[in-house]
Amino acid sequence: MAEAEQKEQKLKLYANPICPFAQRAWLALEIKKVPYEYIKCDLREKPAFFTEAYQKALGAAEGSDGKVPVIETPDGKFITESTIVARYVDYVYSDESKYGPSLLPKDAFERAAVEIMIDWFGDSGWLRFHYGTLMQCDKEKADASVVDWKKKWGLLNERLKQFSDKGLYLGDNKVSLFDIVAYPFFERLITIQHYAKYEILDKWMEEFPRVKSWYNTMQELEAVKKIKQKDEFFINGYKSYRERGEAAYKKEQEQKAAAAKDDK
Amino acid sequence: MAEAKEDQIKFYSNKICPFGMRAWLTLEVKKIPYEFIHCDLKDKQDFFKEAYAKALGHAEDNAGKVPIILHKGKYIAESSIVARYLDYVFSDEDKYGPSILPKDAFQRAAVEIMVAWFGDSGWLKFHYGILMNANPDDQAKSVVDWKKKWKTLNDRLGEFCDKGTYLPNNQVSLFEICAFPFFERLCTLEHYCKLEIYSKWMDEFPRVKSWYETVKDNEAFKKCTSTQEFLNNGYKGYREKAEENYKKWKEEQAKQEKK
Repeated sequence: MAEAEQKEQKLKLYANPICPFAQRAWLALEIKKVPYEYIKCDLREKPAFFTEAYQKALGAAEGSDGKVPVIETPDGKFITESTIVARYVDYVYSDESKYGPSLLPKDAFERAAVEIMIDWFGDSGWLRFHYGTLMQCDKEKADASVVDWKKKWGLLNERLKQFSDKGLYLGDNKVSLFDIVAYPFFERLITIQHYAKYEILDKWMEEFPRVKSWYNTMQELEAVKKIKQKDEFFINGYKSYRERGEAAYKKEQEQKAAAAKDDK
Repeated sequence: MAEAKEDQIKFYSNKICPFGMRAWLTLEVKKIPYEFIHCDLKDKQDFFKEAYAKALGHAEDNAGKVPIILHKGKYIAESSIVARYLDYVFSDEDKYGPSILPKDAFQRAAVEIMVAWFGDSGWLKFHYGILMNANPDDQAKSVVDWKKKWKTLNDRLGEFCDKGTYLPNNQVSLFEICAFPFFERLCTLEHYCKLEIYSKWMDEFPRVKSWYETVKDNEAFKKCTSTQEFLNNGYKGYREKAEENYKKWKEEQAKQEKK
């Protein structure tokens, strides 16, 4: 089959709407209007077709029975790891007249800046703060962690000003790979707000207006709106994380009480 | 010629630093004209701190880190990003050779996977962790865990071929550039931690051994290497601190036992 024809064949995306990593790949496909088929995979009871796809996938973690996203390319290759999948999609579907501009800018300095932001977001520990705050039921520990997380919010607020004082990182609606990599976690802040009772979406956003502008602009993108899930969906989906946090906290309290008894 | 001058790279680095070496390797692999400006990492010069403060990607809480490049009036920091930038700008294959990110989309994704895996695997934490901890029990545990990563690396390097670089035909990629500097510095772990890495470990992981020996022999890589004496000496301070800490820890343990 000719290469051009192959490309028009649909790429398959193995994903689940709860997963922020899968959303990175999903956003890349939607933003670039790449023809794809969404194959929803149960993450608790993983179907055999999904596990098999994952085992074949470039980048599969040894010892894992399946993580989303996975893509199956029209030429039969499986690839996993969210950022790599987004890069792959962007690189292959590079015809700007069909798929729009690349997620990595042409200008070398802007491109480097986007790469810096992606690395910074990963290295900053953002995800550890996100999941940590969601699951931490010890109020004192949670508050202490929030103080540190907000320092990162401050750094993000400043770094987002590199090219523009509003809109996406590159300014206006120029979507880049950074926006795609970071945004899914912002869409899930509602779960932390709900369970941990921090007023992130109102108060924190007010404290960090450049982040707010970035977040609001992302929310208005067609592709983002198209695949956005409802707050209730996320709150329900992450209930088990909070419950795990509660169980851990209960155990800690019991251990403290037992230790206190022993000291007497 | 004004254009040519602006195009020249000013490269701020220090030969001891493995992150600096990533950028240095890229410059040499792609034969990009550059000027090496030595930066003192202990007594940071003003020009170094000023360049860093202006650099895209500089860490807000640090006075100066290498590598930094200056190109067309802009400063850029962060080793992997510098490597990517140089590769992207100096893309004329006739002048600068093939890109360190392959044209084939699947191979390109595979290189990105390896670069990301190397970063996320905790390799550097094991490397520095072992160097900076003189407690032999801790070291033994770390070695067991680190060798699991060596095994994964050994397996993953087999994706395209069973010897040489990660990509077929001894094509150097961003993965070689990101990882090799730390393999060069394994001599410090051999020297200070008495681990027989280049001999015994490499024999346990033959695909890694083949990769290491091939890359070590690459012309460009040979231009950037330092002697084991230089490297061992450079990391002496790290090990001395580790031994000091271990000594204090033993003294504390002894005190606790007396109680």
